[in-house]
Amino acid sequence: MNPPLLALCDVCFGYPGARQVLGPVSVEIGAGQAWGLVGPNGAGKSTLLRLMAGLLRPARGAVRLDDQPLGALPRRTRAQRIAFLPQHLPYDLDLSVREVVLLGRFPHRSLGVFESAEDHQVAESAMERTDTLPFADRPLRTLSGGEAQRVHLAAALAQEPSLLLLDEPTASLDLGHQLAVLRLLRGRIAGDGLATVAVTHDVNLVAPFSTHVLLLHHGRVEAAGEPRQVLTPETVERVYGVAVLALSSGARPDRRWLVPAAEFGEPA
Amino acid sequence: MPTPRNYFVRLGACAAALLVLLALSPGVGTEAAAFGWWDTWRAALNLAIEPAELLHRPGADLNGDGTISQGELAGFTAAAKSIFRRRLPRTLLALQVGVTLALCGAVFQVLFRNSLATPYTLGIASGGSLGALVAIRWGWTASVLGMSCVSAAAFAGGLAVVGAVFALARGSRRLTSNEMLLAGVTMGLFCSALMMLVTVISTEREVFEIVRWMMGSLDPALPLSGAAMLPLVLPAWVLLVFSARALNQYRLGDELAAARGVSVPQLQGVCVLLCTLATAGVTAHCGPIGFVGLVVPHMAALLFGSDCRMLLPASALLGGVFLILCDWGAQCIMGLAGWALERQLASATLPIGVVTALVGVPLFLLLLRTRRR
Repeated sequence: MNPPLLALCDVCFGYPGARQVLGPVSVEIGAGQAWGLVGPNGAGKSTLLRLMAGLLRPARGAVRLDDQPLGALPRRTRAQRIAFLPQHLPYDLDLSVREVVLLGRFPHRSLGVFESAEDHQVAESAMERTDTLPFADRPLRTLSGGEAQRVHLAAALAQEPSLLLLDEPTASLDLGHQLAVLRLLRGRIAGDGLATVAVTHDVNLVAPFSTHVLLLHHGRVEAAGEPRQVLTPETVERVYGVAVLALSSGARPDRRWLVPAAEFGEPA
Repeated sequence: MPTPRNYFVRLGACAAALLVLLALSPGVGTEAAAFGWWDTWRAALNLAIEPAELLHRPGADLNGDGTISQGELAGFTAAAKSIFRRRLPRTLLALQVGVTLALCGAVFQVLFRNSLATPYTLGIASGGSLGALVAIRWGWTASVLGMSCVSAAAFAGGLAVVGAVFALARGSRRLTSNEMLLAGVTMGLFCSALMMLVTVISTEREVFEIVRWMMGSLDPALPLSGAAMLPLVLPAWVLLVFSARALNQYRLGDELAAARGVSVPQLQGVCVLLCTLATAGVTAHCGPIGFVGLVVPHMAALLFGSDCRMLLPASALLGGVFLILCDWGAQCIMGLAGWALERQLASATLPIGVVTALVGVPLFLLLLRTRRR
């Protein structure tokens, strides 16, 4: 059997001067999988994502990419395999959309000042896949938040990674734009073997758009696996401290919506 | 976005402008002389000058007999040569200073993610001025490693203040943090207070000298002072322009740049070190010439866009053009003023810092009005 794309084995981490905030965490991410990373505030979701990106080094344990230690890879080589989108992205740049997307080609060119024809072709296709081509030549700062988010997503795709890590990609977006980004991630972006890991706060929107869910609580894995098995009313109540009910529409009995019991259940 | 074509066309145009200014520069100066720029080049390169050409030049036909004798020709050539030797080094100095300040200003604006950053943001100007003032007040006149003592003290003062700023802001560890800028501003104020203190115990003559020093000057203190700066400024020019692609990533934020394979602490460290050495070197020789490092990068961005691959070399070249033009202005304005006021003025040239602001502000506002979408 093929080794997993990214494997975390008993990874622990603590920021300097603080107690251990994460771990031990073990998880294996395979090619083409779409992971949702959920958990309460301070559970260590962002820290775990940065460990996966190689931006932080684990205090103990190992992160392996294709069975090689991630920390031993040169920075550029790592960036050719893993793209990372932080939560706070720059929106007020003078650069045009196309220029921002082309910046994603950086890890693939060690020499040379100018973009090659291949760089332009990759950027074009990334913009096409994220529906950003219509405003390719507008400056980034003239776009709305949802449009700019998709531009940064296109830049990450132009990086041609095997693994795409996203820190709350839908945090500041309205429902329509949230769905647009999530559908892109699950639909046109997945499919060619790209694995994604997205941190999110929304326990309901994560299920339809993920193949796997990892639920973190106090820096440890509370549950991991298929969304329906991880996000049960019982685990959510235990982790978030909120009693919830599971609702389902008749059309899709396999999908359920978790709502707070106090507001949606029987009046006391 | 720089394509090979627009990159070389635009930078080539800037470089050509710079070369034209360099070629013309020996013909511009305070002395009302009968030499064109072409005459000075020919004299300097020992090319033949036909006596007949000089017949109608004022001052060439000394005895007024209507012919140019060999003696008169030799006198003309010698005078042209000496003018050339005085003016070209001055222009080369202006070029170095302009290129360095504009390039370091552009890099600092990217590095601090702050469009108001200048090469002096970390306190090089105030530290340098304090050093110069101390050297002037206590009359240190020996020369150190080819620099005058005032320059050496200014250089040391500039470096010391940047060192102090980093020591003060070390807790934050982030260049873009408010602590770093606050530490720079605070150290600047502290140096100003120390300067006032020293001023109180100085003579009027010394105070006048330091005030003039702070206005900036391109009159070389020592004949080789321009060449002495080269080891400081040349590595900065080359390495900073080559870090343009990494700086483009840096603009997106520390984390995104790191995820794309840029070593952010290394980039920041190298850039700050190079800029500090180059700016301190330039400031030590010519005083804190303001405005170039703030405005020229903005002009370059308005003209050619803010991609660092274009912005950095364009800022550097335009900085050279800008400062050479300002120096011409500084030399010519005083001549005009003296002629208009019909009296001899105390100084032959206007301090360069006055001209950079007087020329730069309107030019910048004009660009801002016409180019901003």
